[in-house]
Amino acid sequence: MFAGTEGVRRVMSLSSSSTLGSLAGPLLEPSGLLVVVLLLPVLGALVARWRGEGVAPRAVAAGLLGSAAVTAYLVGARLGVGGPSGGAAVELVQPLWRVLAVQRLELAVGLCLDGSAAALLLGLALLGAGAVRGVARRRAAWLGAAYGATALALMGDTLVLRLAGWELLTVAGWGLSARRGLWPLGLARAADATLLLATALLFWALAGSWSSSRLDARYQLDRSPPPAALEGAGAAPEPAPGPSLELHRLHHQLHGASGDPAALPPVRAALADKLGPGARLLTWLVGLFGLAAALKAGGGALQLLSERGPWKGREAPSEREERPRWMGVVRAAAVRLFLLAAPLAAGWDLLRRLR
Amino acid sequence: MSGRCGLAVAVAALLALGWPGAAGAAPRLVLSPPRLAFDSDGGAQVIRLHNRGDAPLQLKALAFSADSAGFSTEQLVPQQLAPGQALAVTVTYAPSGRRPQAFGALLVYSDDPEGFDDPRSEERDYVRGAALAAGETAATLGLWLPPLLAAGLLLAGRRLNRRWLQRCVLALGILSPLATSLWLAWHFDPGFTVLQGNYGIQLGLHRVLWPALGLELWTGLDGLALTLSLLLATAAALRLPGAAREAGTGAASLLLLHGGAQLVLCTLDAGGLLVGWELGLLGAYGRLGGWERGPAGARGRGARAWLLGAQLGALLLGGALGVARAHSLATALVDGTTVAHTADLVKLGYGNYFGDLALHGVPLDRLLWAALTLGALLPGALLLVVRTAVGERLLLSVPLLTVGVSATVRLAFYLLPQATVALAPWLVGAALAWGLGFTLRALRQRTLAQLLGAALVARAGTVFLGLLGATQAGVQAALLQLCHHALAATLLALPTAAGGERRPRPATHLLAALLILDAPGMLGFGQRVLLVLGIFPGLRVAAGVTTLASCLLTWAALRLTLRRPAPSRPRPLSAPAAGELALGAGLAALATGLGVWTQPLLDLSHGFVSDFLSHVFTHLDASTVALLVH
Repeated sequence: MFAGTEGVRRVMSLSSSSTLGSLAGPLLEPSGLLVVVLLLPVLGALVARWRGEGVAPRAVAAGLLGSAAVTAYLVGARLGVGGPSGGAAVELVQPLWRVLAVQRLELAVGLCLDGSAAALLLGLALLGAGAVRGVARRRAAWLGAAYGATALALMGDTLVLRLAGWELLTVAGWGLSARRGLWPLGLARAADATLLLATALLFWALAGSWSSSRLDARYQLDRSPPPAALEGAGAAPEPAPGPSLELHRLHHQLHGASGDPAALPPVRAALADKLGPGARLLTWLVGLFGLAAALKAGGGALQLLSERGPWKGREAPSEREERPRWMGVVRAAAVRLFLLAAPLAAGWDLLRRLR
Repeated sequence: MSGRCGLAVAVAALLALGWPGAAGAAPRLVLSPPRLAFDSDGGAQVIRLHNRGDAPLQLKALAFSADSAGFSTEQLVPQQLAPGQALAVTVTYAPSGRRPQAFGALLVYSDDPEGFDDPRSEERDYVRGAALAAGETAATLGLWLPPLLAAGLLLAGRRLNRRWLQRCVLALGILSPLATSLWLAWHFDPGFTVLQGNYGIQLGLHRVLWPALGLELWTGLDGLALTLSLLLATAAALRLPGAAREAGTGAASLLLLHGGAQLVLCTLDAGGLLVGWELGLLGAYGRLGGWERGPAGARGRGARAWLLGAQLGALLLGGALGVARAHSLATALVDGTTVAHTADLVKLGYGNYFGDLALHGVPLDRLLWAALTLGALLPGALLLVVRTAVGERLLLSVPLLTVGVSATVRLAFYLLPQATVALAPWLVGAALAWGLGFTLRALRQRTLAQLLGAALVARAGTVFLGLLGATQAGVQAALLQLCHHALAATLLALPTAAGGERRPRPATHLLAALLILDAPGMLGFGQRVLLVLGIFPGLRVAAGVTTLASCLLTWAALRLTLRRPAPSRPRPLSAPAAGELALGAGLAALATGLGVWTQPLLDLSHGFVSDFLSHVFTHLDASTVALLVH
């Protein structure tokens, strides 16, 4: 986790010390535009909530298209051929502020964006912009909020920030759906709860394990730091070991610095040997994170299946009368697709980052 | 006539008993001045040892009491002082480390037969002491102002019929603790711990009132007291707009309640704590309508039953403290006088011994722990059975829960750490049962307001999950929960707090829902995440249950929002309603500010949390290990 610009400089020096042939994790580059990707749709949603029916869909569409344009610029100019690595795996980061730090547990607000997440965001923004035209004011606002939540879930640089994105997406998706069914909502909330528990398990698993002994089943701390930390202790740029919720550090700890896919990731191996409550910790972690993603996607799928009938908010009568029937069907389908795609993207991206 | 004679005989007997007898000539050592006060920067002062007796005084040695770090003096050559003769001794203070204050005592060993005997040594000592203090501050006394003003309001009674004067007194009583707390927070060193001295206490004032009884005036703050003091002062200030419209009795009871609570937080001796406790209970009784007459008064609302139960709790607290004092080790007061037993809560926490004492087969320390915990939490828990308006009970729950948690930590956990560890599973089980019970109750509610109230009560139990999670994050989350409770309860009871209408406005209702249901970006979200992360290593089931309960509550709340209420006419914005809106906006801003930048709040209690964990638990958390490795 980055504590302000100092953190970025440290990770930058880490990355720049590596040659292109042996990358120590993804090459990070700061960008001040990531927060714009997040804020534009939120701004559009706020305008839609408080302004008239005619302005609302346009405001949200403008927010989504603006966000898509910024994302496209970042993909083309920073993450693609225009990037410093000439098209290699570059990731943009923007640390914002630190919420709290209790010893080694840090909760901070920062954003990161890589190619895959950018592609997902771009697709969702265009889908949302297509779906929002002609919908009611409140629904348009919910759509903008849902996209903002998805952007947070895809760009958050810590697991807690992603959890915040997931929770916001649950509520915004529920507000956006026509049926507002309780089962999809329950499934999505279960996904949020599972993600929180999985995050807690991962945080503590990196520094210890749970003894399976009946006599002493307490949490046991590692007597020595993870092997990767020892190996990297001589090299200055190694990220600090120990528990972390920051995705870059987690990636580095789980995959090591060698970049060789054939080499055994040392912390991952240590994690596989550790004991959890009734099973290996790695098994628990894979299971819990997988379950969270599956529940999230399941909630979206259930919302898609149960999505029929008119929206429960107030429709704009003038828009409803002017709208051709085929266009209404297409837009309704686009909204449904968004309801499925947003949680699916959030779940998939989380698993991709933690794989 | 015979009565007068009897009285005269009694007075004569008393005088005869008190009159110095025709004992033989004896030396008498007097230290002048009896107390030396130094600046925190250090310095030197002279104390004179007088022989005021009528026999030569043999001076044997000079020494300092055990916790007099930083004070020094020259070696005393054993010598004799003739009657009337004096000897000047220079005492020097040099500040050491991060300790901003120092308390100690200069001990003079002589053959003065009236010198006290140290019970820690077998031989008979003849010692007299002089109190030493450096960097002492009386700022904490600012927190004592509200009870005095409350007494003034009550005594003045109907004579004080000028409304503006009453409001001024109320504002002074409520805002002075807030200003004092802010001043104290400004001068507080958050990283100061027991290792640095003074048992981790800062900004203290320590005097001996009655050495023979071991009675002291001892106020000071650690991270827990300061955080909670700030919280209470803010909560009281939030009630100011509503309380300003009340009659004198209501305002006085509010001052008594919050003043008593502040006393409980910052007093470090058992006597002061019990006085503060009683004042707080009297204030709460007044807020529950106990001082009102007629059928709608105490009996009608169940306030008397509440007071009875709360007094039972106070009895448990006082009794358990008395037993703990009886089992305390001998120690020195701040003026050097030694006592066999101490009522100093800080020293009591580090020096008591129960051994294998048991009552009917139950270890005595376990019984005391249960009595202290029950006594501390009973007043808050009993609010559930009172029939006063929900808003007032919600607002009352803030000080009562805060002092209850503080007393539990300061008394039960600190005095009896072994019993805490042994009985922790029971308390965790009780907290979980409490949380689950009220969550189930919340799920059955038919309106969002009722659901939010029950959810708030359900969540109060998580304070003890955090405290017993035995990690820094868990304890910090427990303290954050108290702040969250204060903000959420005030938001939920906003019409009562602002002195407005009974029904809350939709906007304030929505804000309360966002805060209580942990909307990301508000204080509740960060607190819940910190709690689950903190208690996960030791209390995994509790973490799962808490998460599940939170998940269910959001689900139920959103389900209830589907039931749209009948559209109501827009109400004109009266003055109380405008105040309610302003207060709601301020509270929302505060909750959001603390949600996105929690660090300043956590920093205040950083040192205390370290001390608490090392004193009560032996566990280290993972982050500590990572820190030690590097």
